[in-house]
This record gives sequence, structure tokens and C-alpha cells, in this order.
Amino acid sequence: MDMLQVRKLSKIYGGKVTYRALTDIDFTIRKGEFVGIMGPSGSGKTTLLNMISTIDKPTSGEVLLNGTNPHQLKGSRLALFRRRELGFVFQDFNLLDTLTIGENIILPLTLDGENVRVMQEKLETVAAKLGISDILDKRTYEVSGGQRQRAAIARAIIHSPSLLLADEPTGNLDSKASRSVMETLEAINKNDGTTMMMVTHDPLAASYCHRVIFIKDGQLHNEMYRGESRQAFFQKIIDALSLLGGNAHDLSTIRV
Amino acid sequence: MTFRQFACNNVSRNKRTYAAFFLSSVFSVMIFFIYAMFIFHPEIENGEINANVAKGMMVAEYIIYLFSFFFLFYCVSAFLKKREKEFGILFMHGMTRWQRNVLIFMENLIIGLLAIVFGIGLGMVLGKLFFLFAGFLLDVEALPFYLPLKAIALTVVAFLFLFVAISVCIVLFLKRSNLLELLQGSQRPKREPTASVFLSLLAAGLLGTAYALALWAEGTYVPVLLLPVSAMTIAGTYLLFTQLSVFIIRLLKRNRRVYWKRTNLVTLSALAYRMKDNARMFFLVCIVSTVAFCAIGTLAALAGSIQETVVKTNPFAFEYHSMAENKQEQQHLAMIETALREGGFPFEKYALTVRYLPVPTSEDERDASVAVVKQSDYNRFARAAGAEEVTVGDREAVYFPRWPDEKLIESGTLQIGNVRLQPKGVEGFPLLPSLTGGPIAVVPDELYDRAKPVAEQHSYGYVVDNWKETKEIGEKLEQELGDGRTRSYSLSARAPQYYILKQMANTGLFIGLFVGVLFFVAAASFLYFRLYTDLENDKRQYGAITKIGLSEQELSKIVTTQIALLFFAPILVAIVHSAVAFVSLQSMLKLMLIASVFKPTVIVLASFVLVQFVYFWMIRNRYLFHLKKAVL
Repeated sequence: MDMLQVRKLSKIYGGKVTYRALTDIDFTIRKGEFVGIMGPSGSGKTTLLNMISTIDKPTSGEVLLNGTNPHQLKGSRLALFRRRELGFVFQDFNLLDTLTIGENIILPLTLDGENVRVMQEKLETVAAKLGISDILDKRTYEVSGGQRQRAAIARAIIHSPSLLLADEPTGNLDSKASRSVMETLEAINKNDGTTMMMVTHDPLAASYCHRVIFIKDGQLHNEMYRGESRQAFFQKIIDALSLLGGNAHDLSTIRV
Repeated sequence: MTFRQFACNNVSRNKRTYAAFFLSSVFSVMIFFIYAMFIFHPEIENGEINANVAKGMMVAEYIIYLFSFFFLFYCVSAFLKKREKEFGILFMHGMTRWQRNVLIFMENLIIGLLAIVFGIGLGMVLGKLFFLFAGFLLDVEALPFYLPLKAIALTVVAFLFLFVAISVCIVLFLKRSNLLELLQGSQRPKREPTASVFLSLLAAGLLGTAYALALWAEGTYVPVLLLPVSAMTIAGTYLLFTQLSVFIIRLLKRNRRVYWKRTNLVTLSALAYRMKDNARMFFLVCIVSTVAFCAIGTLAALAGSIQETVVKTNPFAFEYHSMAENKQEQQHLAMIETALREGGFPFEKYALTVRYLPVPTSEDERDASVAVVKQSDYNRFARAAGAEEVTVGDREAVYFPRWPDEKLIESGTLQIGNVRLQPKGVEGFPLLPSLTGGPIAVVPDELYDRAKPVAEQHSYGYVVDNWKETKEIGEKLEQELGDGRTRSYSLSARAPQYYILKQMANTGLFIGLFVGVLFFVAAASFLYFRLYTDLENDKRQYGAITKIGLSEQELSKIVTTQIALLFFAPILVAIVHSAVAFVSLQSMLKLMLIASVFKPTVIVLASFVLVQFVYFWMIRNRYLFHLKKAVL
């Protein structure tokens, strides 16, 4: 079953000089699939993600999530859609400094007016799953980057969204933390069957996906499926990236 | 965590951000409450203190309220601007617009309620002190403390409404920016502001014209020009900060020998970048300070010159005027003298006779007669009162204008026997203004004796050295004799008038001082917000520069220059504005017999600059401390 359908998606930025960021992107993601989006700087990866996450509006084309086009929703219905259907993990975590880790995680439920007891139960479950049960009462600046990103992931999945979107989730982490975050995502995908789409620069992170879509200059370039071995997939991704061009900077594991 | 707890957490864990806003709110509430406490004081309602005092306070109360509204509105919108990214994240997690509005509303209400509680509490504590100070200034016994239920009710209702109104307005005015912009928040690169040459020239032109008009205006023109000049100054000031300043910075930047010299590169570029952000705040601070300076300066001048004014308008401690037909004259005089003797006040008594002569050609009913005084009598009186003596020529009559620029009586209208007298005006204030409603002329002795009056009046002046202590006697005599103006005699005592005027002037000063302090605190908080908003950006920027190699001294120098500009640019413009305003006020106030606004003004301005400097130094050190902690 197709969870996400992207049809003829284009984005043109207006202004003095119009700039074509995306051209006729077409792809689908099945339920339970874990898809990575890769491409050199300026290829339009993040723009694509912003369209799907409803942060930005497409110039033409449509995005269908479970058959609903969120760009046609207005006002509070769009907010409800974001609240119930989407989970989002940012590169810079975007946790609120005024809240504790635990409070940050239950934020989507709070906004939905959920019962406190239910929130508490879900928080305990999700925190245990991500191994952050002992830092729930800490403030955001008191924990490490990897812990923060896992808290952000917890926040993104606590309401069991249809689709989890991640924008460079390992971009601000060291390799050890990256690995642990990716293993967490993989486990959530496997155990809970959460559909995921991740934009990344990091070939290692991408190697955890079932499928990687490459885009270049705003157009779909090609896609690759992961076979049995993650190691082999990693190698294939590196080869594909060097073929795509782009510069050495794009290959680095850590982007600052 | 429920939604309500979420709102509470937002406030309680953001104490540092909210501190200045909260304190300003508390301060506004406190001043409002103390004034209300004063207005509703039972002894004021009973009429112990002049009713005008309470009326003036009422006006101040309105001003405080109105000002609090705009000030708090500005603060709240500044905060929301800073929190754009936070709202972006919340929208991302499915917050509806309605929920955002509820969140803003709840947060404001929490702060508002706390501010009201603390403001009233602080007001209660400081109330006694305030009453003491008020008593000292108003020259009455300090008001006793009381349980101000009415004042509490008024303050709570007024400020609850204010905070609710602000929340509603804020939500209505909130820009509907898209999510992408919100998420990028303050990191979104801003464009360098540009200035239009035309508007820059207009700014200079407007200010120049306004200054020229204000300096040129004489006496009576000042009130007429007040409105256009203020309007031009306000418009000019706005353009000065939004356009002219940007224009000047651009000119400086074009000069590479200046721009590329050491830290100037960093200072000037940052300045140009921020000028537009700061412009509106500069404008507000500048106008608010100008108003405060002018008000306090004028009020201080008024209060300081009361004694001089009263002595001029009432040259004698007691004056008694009686028409010739008044049978009680001797009895009244005896009453006055007995009262003075019993009170232990030595006095000197001066007498003078006034004759009223008919003026046949005058159109005005009131001027149907002219009061004339013998030259020798007048000069004796003048000597006693310490006023200038006059010399009158053979066929002359010396007139005292009753108000500035009064036209003298037409030549030849005054006639004694068959001698037509030539009117001659003198500068200065009439020695005996309460003598008669009509014009007064001093004529030569010989002519006076020949005059055939329609009426005759006897006037007596009493000189008492320590007249300030004769207030009770004066009040008692005025009461016993009744208001004689409608009858054939009148008594006027200087001391009661002096105390009424003094109380009024001091009330003005008293109210002005506190409103002025409120303005100052507000201006200071504006600056604090501005700096606090900039701190995050500065940390990032200076972090980058220090990596290239910026010494601690250089960092201090750049930051000090920037903060000093922030603190003193608007004040400097405000000082120039008020200096010009005082020059023209001076020419108007001369008419009201006020000696000089110069001294009180200088005192006001100097103390203001001093306080501002202390505040600047404190803020600078704190700011540098935070910056260095993050950067070095």
C-alpha cells in the first residue's frame, strides 16, 4: 500500500531572479518503508522535504499522504494533520529550551489535549524504547547531542504518526552518536512499522535505509535498493555519490 | 503536562527574558496604584488638601495608563518577535493558530496577574514613604496610612483589562508569516537598510525649520506655534533615526580611510545593519525623554519661582481697600492690626487714596472711569513694597498695563480740569493690581488735588517681615470680613495665596516627577530589551570574529561604542530638542513672571544624564560579561 505519493512536484522560488529548485519529482513510499533522499548541496533535498512536511508550499504538483493532500487543508485542519499524521526530526534538534526533555517529548500530545495519564504512559514507553528514561527531567542544555536527537525522535514518534520525516538527523552528531541514532531509527521502523523518509548527506546514515533516492539539480537522478548487506549498500552509495559529482565536502560524515 | 502547565512553564523558566518586562509592568502598576491610593485618600476626599491636587493626579493617572498600554504592547510584540522560531517548532508539531493565541493570552495573563499582585504589594509598602514625600512637597502634614480598597479595586480592574486588551491586540496584529520564515527565526539574513536621499534631506529640513521657528518665536507666538513645531520635530526625529542616520553611516562607509580603520569595520557595519531595528526604539525613547525633560524642567521652574511671583503680584502682606462710603473702614483696620499684634507680628502700615475720574469717550463700560493716584503717594507705596518709583512729567499720566501688550488709553481721554494728560506707558507689573478692575494712572500731585472724582477709595498696605507665618491670620481675617469684592471694601492677604499657589505648583512637580521617572524606567527597559534581543546574534558574530583574532580590549571597545550609542544617541537628541524648547518656553514663561527655567533645567538634565550613565555602565558590564563568557 502506498503511504506517500509525490506527483509532478515542482518548486520555483520567486523574487528578482526566479530559481527552479525542483522539477517534476515523482515517487511513492510504501507503508513501513524507510527511504533516504541524497544528493549534492543545492540539489533540492531539503526543499523536497519541506514540501512533504508542509513547511513550504509547492509551485505545482501534489503530495498525497494516505490519499490526503495537506496543501489543500486550511487553518486548524492543517494543524491537526501535522499533529496526527506527521513526525519531524530536525538537524539541530529544535527542542524547546524552556521545557524539560520529557515535556518536549509529550508536546504533540499536550497540544492535542491528551489525558495526562495516557501521556505519562506513552512517555514511559517511548523513553524506554529510546533509552532516555533517566534524562526526562533534565533541561535541554544539560544533555549531549545524541541524547537530544533521541529525545527529538521520541517527540516525533510518541503520537504514532503515519510518516516520520527526518532532515539530516545525524548532521550535528559525532560518528558514535550518529550510529546509535540510526540504529534507533532502524529499530523503530522494524518494530513499530513506522514509515520514514530521511534527507541526509551521510552515506553511513543512508546505508540504514531500505531504498535511497538520489536527486541532482532538482530532478530525480536514480534510486538504489539495499540488498542483504548494509556494508555493500554503503559502498554502493559512496560510488553513486562520486558519480553524481558534488564536492568532497558532501562526502564528509559530519557537516558543520 | 497540560496546555496550561505548558504556558506556565514558558513563563517560569524564561525568567531572565521576562525580568525587565515584568519589572516594568510591576513599576507601572505600582505608580498607578500609589496615585490611586492618593486620589482615594479619605483626607483628600474630605478636602484637607486642595482638590486640584487630586484632579492633577487623575490626569497623571490617565497618562500613566495610556503610556503603560503602549509600552507594554511594544514589549510584548518585541518578545513575540524573538520567539518566532519557537512558534515555528510548535506549529510544526501541530499547534493551531487558536492554540497559539490562547498560549499568548495565558502567558500575558500570568505575567499580568503577577505584576498586579507585586505592584500593589510594593505600592502598599512604599505608600507611606510616598505620603511622607507628598506631605513634604505639598507643605501639609503627611497623610496617614489607610486600607485602600478602592485603589486596589481600580488598579486590579484597570490592569487586568489592560493586559487582556494587549493580548487581544497583539494577536490581531500578528503577521501571518509562513512556517519556513518562522523556523529560520532570527537567523534569517536581513538586508542592509537603505536610506532615501530625499527623506534624509527632509529630516534635516524639518528639524532645521522647527528649531528656527522655536528659537525665533517670541512670547505670545509660542502657544500658537507649539503644535506645528512639535509635529515637525516629531516627524523630523522619526526621519532622522530611520533615514538620515542610515544615510550618514553609508557616507562614512564610503570613506575607506575611516571605514577600513581597525575595528571601525566591525562597528560601522554592525551599526548600519541594526540601524533600522533600532530606529523606531530610538525615536520612542527620544520623544518620551524630550517630553519628560520639558515637563519636569518647566514644573521645577514653576515651583521654584512661586515666592517671587506671589511677592510681585501681592506687594504687601495685607492689603485693605475701601470705598469712601464704607462705614466699617476703621473697624476693619482695627481688626487687622489687632490680629497682627496678637500674633506677634510687627508691621508697617502705608495708606494711599485713589480717585476715580470719569472717561467720557471710552466705549467699554468697564473702563468708564480711570483710577488715578498721586505721584508722591504712589512712590511712597512703591518704596515700601520695594518696587520701582515713577516720575511723571507735568502733563503726563503714567499707566500700568494690566496685561502684556495692553493698549494704552487713547491720548487725551484723561482730563483733569481743563488739562488733557498725555498717557505714558511703563514697563513692568502694576504695583497694585488688586486695587481696581480698571486702568490705573499715576498723575502729578498738583493735578491730583484739583481732580473732581466720581468716587474715592482708601487703600492700606501692611508690610510684615515674616509674612509666611501669617497664613492663619490671613485666612481668619478673610473669613471674618467676608469676600468684600462685591461690597465696598476688599481684603487680600498674601500668605494664603502663596500657600495655595505653592501647593499647586508642587503638585505639578510632584506628579511630573513620578510620571517622568516612569518614562525614564520605560526608556531604560526599551534599551534592555533591545540589547537582550541582540545578545544571541552578537555571541555568534563575535564568536566568529574572535576566531580570526580579536583581542579582549578590541571586543570591549566595539561593544562599548555600540551600547553607548544605543544609550546616548536618543538622549542627546532629546537634550537638544528640550534645550530648544526651553528657549522658547522661557520667552513665554517670562509673561508668567517666572524668573528662569535655566537652572532647574540644567539640574534635571544633569541628574538624568548621570543616572543614565550609571545604568549604561551597569548594562555594559553585564553584557560584556555574557559575551566574553560565550566567546573567549
